[in-house]
Amino acid sequence: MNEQNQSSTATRRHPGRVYLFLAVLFALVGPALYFGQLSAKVLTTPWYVPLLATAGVASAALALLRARSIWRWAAIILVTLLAAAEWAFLLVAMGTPAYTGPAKSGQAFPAFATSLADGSAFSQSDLKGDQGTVMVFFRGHW
Amino acid sequence: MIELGELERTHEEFAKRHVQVVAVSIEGLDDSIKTQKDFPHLVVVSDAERKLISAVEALHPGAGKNHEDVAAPTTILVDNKGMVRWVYRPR
Repeated sequence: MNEQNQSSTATRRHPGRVYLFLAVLFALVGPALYFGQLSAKVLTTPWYVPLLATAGVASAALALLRARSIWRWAAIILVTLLAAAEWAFLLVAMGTPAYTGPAKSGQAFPAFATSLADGSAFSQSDLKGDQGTVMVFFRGHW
Repeated sequence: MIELGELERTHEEFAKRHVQVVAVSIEGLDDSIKTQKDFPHLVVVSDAERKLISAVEALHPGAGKNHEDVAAPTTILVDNKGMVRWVYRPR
């Protein structure tokens, strides 16, 4: 009974504090999950990262509605900035222009002559033989 | 680099279908050697001179993290006669 009273008193003194904790949790768990995804080399676009941060913004807003404090203002500003940065990264930085180059279905692969990581030559003639090719262009190390 | 990990993980499926997986970037030789070490079942092209990427027009100018040029993520399926069968670029 006494514990219940103490808990109730704490809730009255810090109304909506659980939303503040949730806001911080949502903001941190997205990047942590993405780090795990990168470690596992899993192929998916991490839409959940900005979505979780957006949920964090909503949670921070709820916390601020319940009570005003410098911590809650700081939380909503920081989580909003984080969410905006994550959305910008996914929608702008990771976006690519539509392909308009010469590689077209039904046509021969464009002629080229380059080299492999082991220094040996590699050209369009290496695309012919007893196997097909999946050619993947990637940005490189980030 | 995520996609390379997935391709490496499923390399046996490509081998069963007689398909080689070629990974291309404009990284220098040192980075390409590292990529080859990380993904030993892929054929890693070191296209620092941009000969292949220019031929295919797959450069994304200024899109690197420090605004340097990088290869635009693009996947091209080529049959064993050297004919393009499919071109895909994510948005």
